[in-house]
Amino acid sequence: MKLMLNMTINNEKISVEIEPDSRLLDVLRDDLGLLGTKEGCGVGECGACTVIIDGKTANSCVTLAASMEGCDIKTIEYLSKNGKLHPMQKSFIDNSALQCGFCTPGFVLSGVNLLERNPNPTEEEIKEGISGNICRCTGYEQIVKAVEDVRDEKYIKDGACDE
Amino acid sequence: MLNYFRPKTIKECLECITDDRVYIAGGTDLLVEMRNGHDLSKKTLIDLSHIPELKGVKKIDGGLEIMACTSHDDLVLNKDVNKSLKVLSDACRTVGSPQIRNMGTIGGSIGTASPASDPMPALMLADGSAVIINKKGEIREEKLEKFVVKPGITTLKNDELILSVKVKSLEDYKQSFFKIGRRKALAIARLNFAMAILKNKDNTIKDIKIVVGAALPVTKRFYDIEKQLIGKKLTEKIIEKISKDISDQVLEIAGPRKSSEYKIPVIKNIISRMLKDMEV
Ligand code: FES
Ligand code: FES
Repeated sequence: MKLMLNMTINNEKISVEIEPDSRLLDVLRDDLGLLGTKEGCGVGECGACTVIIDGKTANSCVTLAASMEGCDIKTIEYLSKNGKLHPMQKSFIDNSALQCGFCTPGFVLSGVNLLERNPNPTEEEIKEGISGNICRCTGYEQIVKAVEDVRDEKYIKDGACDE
Repeated sequence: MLNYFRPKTIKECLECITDDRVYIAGGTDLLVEMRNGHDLSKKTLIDLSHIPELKGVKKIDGGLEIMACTSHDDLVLNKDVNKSLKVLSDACRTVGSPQIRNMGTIGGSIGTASPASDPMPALMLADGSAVIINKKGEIREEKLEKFVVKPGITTLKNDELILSVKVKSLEDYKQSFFKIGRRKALAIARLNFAMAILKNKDNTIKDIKIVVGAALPVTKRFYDIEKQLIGKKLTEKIIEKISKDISDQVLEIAGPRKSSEYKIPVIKNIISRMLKDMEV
């Protein structure tokens, strides 16, 4: 049984044929070629597969693709515009908040979504906001700092950062 | 072949129910099971995520009705829940991670009957009962203590669907939730507790409710101990006695295990600390 799935991904309406038991993660990576979403644990614990669904973060590895009918999904590819990085991406680089980078798309989306929902989080709230993401390299301090810098408007709003 | 349905109303959903039905709401548990080999290929998968009637919190006489597909995050934020049953939003705030809270639902957390459920102690504290509808449209209500039979097993029959959970308002009570997990974030509860207390003017106990979760195979309200406390004051001596009685009972029910040596004194200390904190 194949099934037609209609959803909005990164502001673009798409229709894709899927198996009813496909994971959102696989549809994004294999069918749509959006490789920025990573698979780490595959069981909802590491956050490498984080996407934003209807304005809230979710683990795409434990999300049924078929459930996404009509939903608005944002992946890491959404953030940079015309080759310009999003403030959160820029801040991660400036703060050395990544090493191998495998966890980074997930952390960046958690950070972005946190500030969308709570523009002025405390350090504690930032830690809570990224608590569903695991990094084996950096030790989190730089990641928290990266989110704080965006919160403190060290970067120009609207996604444009001039190099 | 896997059959998949995505009903838009409860009525449509009931029509889809077959003997081999498997429900999916947030997916946070089912997709992990699928990865672990749970074979759905010959099943009927019913997707509950597109039924607006199954979402949200309604005020009912003396309490709230929480529809089954309401997410943990919605309960953290919901004004009525924060007002009438703060302990439930506190419990939901400790579930999984932000991502899991956004997707996971209250119905899922009851339906899977995981002993580590965080909302469960808070729901039982508020005399929670599951509201269940069957394929014929008949509705039954069952206290959560009865509904959860043992880990992973509930009384839900194949032709039934969880509609909601009804809870009493504990607005006038002092409420408290406490959890110990392995890691702060993502912690799956190893021990969790919920309590509520209502005092008379003279500081004696008018009503008290005590629930112990994750330490036990099935979350438990300590009705017998609660009853003994009505009319008493929470003196040091009484607190000492209750916390000992409860931890003894936990040991008796859960049976001695390797972890008991650690868990039992911790349970005793936490209960005594929670009671003391509610005293001030
Ligand atoms: S890959 Fe999805 S949470 Fe780890
Ligand atoms: S940078 Fe390597 S896992 Fe985070």
